[in-house]
Amino acid sequence: MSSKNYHILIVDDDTEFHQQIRYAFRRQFLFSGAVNEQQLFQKLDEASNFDLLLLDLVLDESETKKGLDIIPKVLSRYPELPVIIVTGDRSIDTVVTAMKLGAKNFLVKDDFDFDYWEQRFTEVIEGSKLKQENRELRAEVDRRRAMENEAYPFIGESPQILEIKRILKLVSEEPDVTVLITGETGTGKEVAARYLHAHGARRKGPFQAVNLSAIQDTLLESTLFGHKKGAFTGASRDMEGYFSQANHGILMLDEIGDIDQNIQIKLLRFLETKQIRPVGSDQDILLDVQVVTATHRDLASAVQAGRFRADLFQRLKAMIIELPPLRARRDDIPLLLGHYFQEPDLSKVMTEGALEAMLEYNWIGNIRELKNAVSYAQLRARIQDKRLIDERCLPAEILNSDTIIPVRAPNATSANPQAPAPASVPVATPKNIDEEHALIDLDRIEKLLIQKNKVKKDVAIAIGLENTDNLRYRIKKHFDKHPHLFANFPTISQSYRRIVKL
Amino acid sequence: MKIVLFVEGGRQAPAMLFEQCAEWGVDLRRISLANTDWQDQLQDAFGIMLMLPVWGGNAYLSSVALWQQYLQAEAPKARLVMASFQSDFQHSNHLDILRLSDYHATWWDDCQTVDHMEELPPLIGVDLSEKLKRFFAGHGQDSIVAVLSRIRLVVQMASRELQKMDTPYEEIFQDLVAPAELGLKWREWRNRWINYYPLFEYTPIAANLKQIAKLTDGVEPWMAAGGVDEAPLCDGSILQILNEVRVQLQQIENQYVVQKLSHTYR
Repeated sequence: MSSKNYHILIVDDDTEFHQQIRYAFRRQFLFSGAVNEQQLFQKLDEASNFDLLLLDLVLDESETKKGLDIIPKVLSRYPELPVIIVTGDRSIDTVVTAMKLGAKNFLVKDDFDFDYWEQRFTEVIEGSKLKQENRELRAEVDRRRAMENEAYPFIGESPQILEIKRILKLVSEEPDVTVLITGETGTGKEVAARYLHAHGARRKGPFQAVNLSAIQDTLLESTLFGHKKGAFTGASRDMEGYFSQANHGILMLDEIGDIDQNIQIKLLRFLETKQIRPVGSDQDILLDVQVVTATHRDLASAVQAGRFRADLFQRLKAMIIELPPLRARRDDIPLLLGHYFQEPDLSKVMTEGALEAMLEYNWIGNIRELKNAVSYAQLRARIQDKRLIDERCLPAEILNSDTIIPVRAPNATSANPQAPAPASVPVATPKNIDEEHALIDLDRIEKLLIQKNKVKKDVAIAIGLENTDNLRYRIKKHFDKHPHLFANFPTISQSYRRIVKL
Repeated sequence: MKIVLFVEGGRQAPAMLFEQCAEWGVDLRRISLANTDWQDQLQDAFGIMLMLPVWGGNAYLSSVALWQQYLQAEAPKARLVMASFQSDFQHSNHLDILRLSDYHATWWDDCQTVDHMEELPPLIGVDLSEKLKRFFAGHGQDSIVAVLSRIRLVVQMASRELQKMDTPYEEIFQDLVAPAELGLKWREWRNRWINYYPLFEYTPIAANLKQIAKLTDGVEPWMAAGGVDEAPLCDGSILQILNEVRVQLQQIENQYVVQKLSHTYR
């Protein structure tokens, strides 16, 4: 790289030295000069675009090292400007003092060596620029993190939410405690984790959130802990896992109740030793990561059923925060609607009837469902050319809010998405909480498949999944665990024939 | 028989000193410091005797500190004996030439080796170790090294331009060499050298300085002419000589100037 554009300011009472340095480095750098302190600051004030200051220590006949007094003055006014001392004095005391005061290097005139000096000039300038860029990037990262956290506001003024916020703030002062956030799906577990990140000691570190149920079991270990090149077929290069990416920050592991025993052991090991071992590596990596886990499952029951390790559960539950379902804090619904409509005055966006229906609805999918309902209603209002959202713009299930734990009749299908769904008849009695959740989830998917004319992409979006792969995976997991339930869901069974083999 | 190397110090030593030493079983041998042969003799010697104060550069000088530093590094078990007419100078290694009859052969055995030598009381004469510091001090008017380094800087830059950048010498001379007024600077160097050189004639650095004097004689004509001739720059001979001078100076500096730092952070 050509260093021609770097602008160096020389400060030396010896004008001959100015001339010689300018001549020697005329092809490499641009130079300006000053012979005393007054001229130096004049030059700096006139043009602040200098990349380097070459400062002599003795600037007059008095032989006092005035340059040593100048270093802090320059750095206090121009902290980005690197200073190299170029002088005839080679005493260790002087070098140490100059470096302590902030000089980046110390060159002795008697030791002039063109290549060495050029290298030092360039190194110091580029090092300083790199630091500056680094600072700017850090500021940008902080700004983006702040924006990201703003994009996940923890909305709610109900007593439950205010109490949770208070606890989260207290917990955030403990940057190493493992936090378990529980709550139904869509209650804002990631939002709560981000709130913890934004208010805690790790706010300057990264925040990584990963939904464990969305990752194939076979890939989970390498996704979390990373892998070495050649560790398995397709591992064409070393890859960092989520843990490494979250170093010095927070890693949120959502759906922790869904991981298998192998990953449970590895996670337990990390929580105990703070070390991970990437797949295919023979070395452990020490990391500084605060783990926040979340689940909608009852982990205690999972432990009793032998599906979840008791020792891991003991670790995870160091601090449990339970998020209430939206139906348990209906007072927050208008606030949430105001946020998603970007209009606090709801009368400007929806009719009273629509608002009432939304307030009365049970929101099984909680805030995620509410958010999707808002998007849906806005779109419907635009299609129907309505200024205000009314009941007809709302998703059908909101108008049918009597389906709290709905399980559809085996042969009840409808091609009309607007048609109210028939009353649910639970034909299968759940044996445990896990099965109960599966029933709720499958029923919802079944209904949405009917509503959305079996367009899987729309169904995935409606339930807050990123893509159809996630939806397929979710169904597969349910089928693997509860195949007998699928007799109740013909639309799912038909749409996912390759998975559901009854 | 104890061998003791004798440094005269610009003054004729009294013959009776040698006679007395012989009586004590001490072989007092005059040495020349202009070359380094004496350094080999030192390995088998009992010690070194200095005739104090030294007379050089029209002044009385004290070379003890420099000798002490030298012996501490090279022969710490040797004795540094100070012979003088200064009767009020009290030290276990001091030999008062006016009272030689008061000493016995056993006195030599009580002389301290350099590594255990007690602190010296003030001696007559200018302390040469302080002079040597001025010789090297970076910015001062007395510094001989400062002038030489300014000359070397110009020569180094000019040689590089000629050899590596193929810059025409007319341009180099006009922009770099002529403005540097090498002729004037060289005269300044010579003047300072003449002031310093005789001071160190009876010190352990005498051989280094003699070597420097010989080297600088080689560049004298080119410097005196103000660096007009391009050839010695082209073949690098001027720079080579100045670099050798620098090496000699660095050797002295490294050994005798307490605070030193050569090529910072390199």
